[in-house]
Amino acid sequence: MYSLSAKQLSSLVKEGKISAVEVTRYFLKRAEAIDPSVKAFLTLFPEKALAKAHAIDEKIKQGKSVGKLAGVPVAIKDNIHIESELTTCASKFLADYKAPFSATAVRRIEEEDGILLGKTNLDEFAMGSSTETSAFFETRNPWNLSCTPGGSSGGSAAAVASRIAPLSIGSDTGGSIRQPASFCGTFGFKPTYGRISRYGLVAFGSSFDQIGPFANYAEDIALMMDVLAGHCPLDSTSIADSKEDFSASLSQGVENMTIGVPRNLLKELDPSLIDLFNNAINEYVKMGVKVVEIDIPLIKYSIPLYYILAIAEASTNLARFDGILFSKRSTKAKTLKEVYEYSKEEGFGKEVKRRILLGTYVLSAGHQDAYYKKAQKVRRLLIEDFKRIFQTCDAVVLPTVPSAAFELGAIKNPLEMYLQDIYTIFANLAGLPAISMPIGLDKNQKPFGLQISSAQMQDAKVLRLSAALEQQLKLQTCPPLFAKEFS
Amino acid sequence: MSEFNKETLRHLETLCRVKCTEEEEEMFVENIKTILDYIDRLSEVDTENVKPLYSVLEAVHLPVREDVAKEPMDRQTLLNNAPASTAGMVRVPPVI
Repeated sequence: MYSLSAKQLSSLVKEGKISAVEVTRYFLKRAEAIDPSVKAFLTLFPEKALAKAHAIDEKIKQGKSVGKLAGVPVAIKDNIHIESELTTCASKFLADYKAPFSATAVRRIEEEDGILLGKTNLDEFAMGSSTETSAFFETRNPWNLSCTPGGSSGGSAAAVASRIAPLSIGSDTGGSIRQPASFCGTFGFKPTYGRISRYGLVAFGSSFDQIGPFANYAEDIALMMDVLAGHCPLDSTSIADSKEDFSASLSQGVENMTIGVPRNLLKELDPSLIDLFNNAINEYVKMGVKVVEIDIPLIKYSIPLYYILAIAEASTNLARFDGILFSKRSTKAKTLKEVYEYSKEEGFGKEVKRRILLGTYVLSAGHQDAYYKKAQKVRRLLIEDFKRIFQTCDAVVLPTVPSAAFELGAIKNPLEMYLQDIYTIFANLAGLPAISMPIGLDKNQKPFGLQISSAQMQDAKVLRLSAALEQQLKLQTCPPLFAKEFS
Repeated sequence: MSEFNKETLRHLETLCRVKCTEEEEEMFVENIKTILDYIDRLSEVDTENVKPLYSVLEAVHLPVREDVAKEPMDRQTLLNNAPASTAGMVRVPPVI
């Protein structure tokens, strides 16, 4: 059953060929067998999941209609609220924080009869590229347990890759969905900024953050977009006409599309990875896609831009965690000032502190113009660059990450870790839709991902290009360790 | 612009009320210096007459919901997450 797509599973459930309870029990069993070694989940909801499955089976028995995700387990990154469950953001600060409401994305999954399976691990407050900054534990890569699954949505990627859950959601501020998708050999999609409501997502960099799905098949990403996209009055950055029939648009073909490849960005890539990339591009050529070489000169400023703007926003957003309202207060604090200082000292990990301090620096008197304002101007120039490119190209194609998954503990230098996002950040800077999809294994049998991005609101085009390549490549994408039944 | 030292860091700690241990201070000064050196390359870009960008959706219509009063969320549910509360309010140490 693990190799079925979410779409297939929900069809079987709807047709009464298998019950939602059987599906849920099956994936809970996989969680029990696999998660002790992968450690993708912070919490699982076996009782609630089975209760919901029973309710769906009951509806089907009574001949009532059921939703698009009928009986399909979905894992939720632990910075997205599920009412009355913990939202820890993998931080000691929020270790006891219970969400007072559900995120719109979660509500939509429930309304379509998806089954909330559990909450997944992440880098603390989504700050990191490896899940190593989680205050609780590291998640492991299902392809190679000594490697990182990537991050920050490492748990959501690993849960889907190891087939503990057919679907999951994560959040992406600079690559936090796409980089782990690449490392774990799954599909991970960051939609256009504003297409999925962020109500109930704990804010990191508000002009960058976007919720998006993980799945093992392009059709499942489209299915999730059918469920998740749509205007939400509770999110002031939610686009009015966000809904679209993504599933139907998959079959429209890619012939005569034009993709742009910025070749000069690939110079330092390992030759075996270049081969995988070129192979994918050749498949597009075979399908009648036109490939042109492009230049994006300002992309080299992505990381400086991100580490000024996103971190400035983060330092502002995280100021609310001050020991007054949310979960944690230091027991040694006697005065109000000490409440702030000791609660933050004890509650935040090193990476979060580093970013708050750096964000405070770029926003402080005397530095704001040189850093923050300057970056906002360069951001506009970068966006204009992309507008020009999308006048002639349907999509920009790049590797998702310059490498395959690295060993846990291998990257100690923060700047080196930040460079993980060198190919992904531009999509957040410009609010573009971008997907990472598996295109094969490197010489060490680790997955490698291709990133396809397009202009704002061209999400369907991105999905169509990924579905076409998936069909052409016909890869086996389940990690060998877990490509078996555990019943 | 990289005259970033322990004094600068301590000033930032005061500004954002994030206290660091001695060991963290040593490490952060070094880290932040390296990061600032790296991000300083932004100054190469000519941004004369460019307006700062505040939203990537500045050309997109974002509807605003009706300004109608709604039932607030249950007070106790919210207070349950506060570390200390009393009589329906959050309790903090004396301010004055």
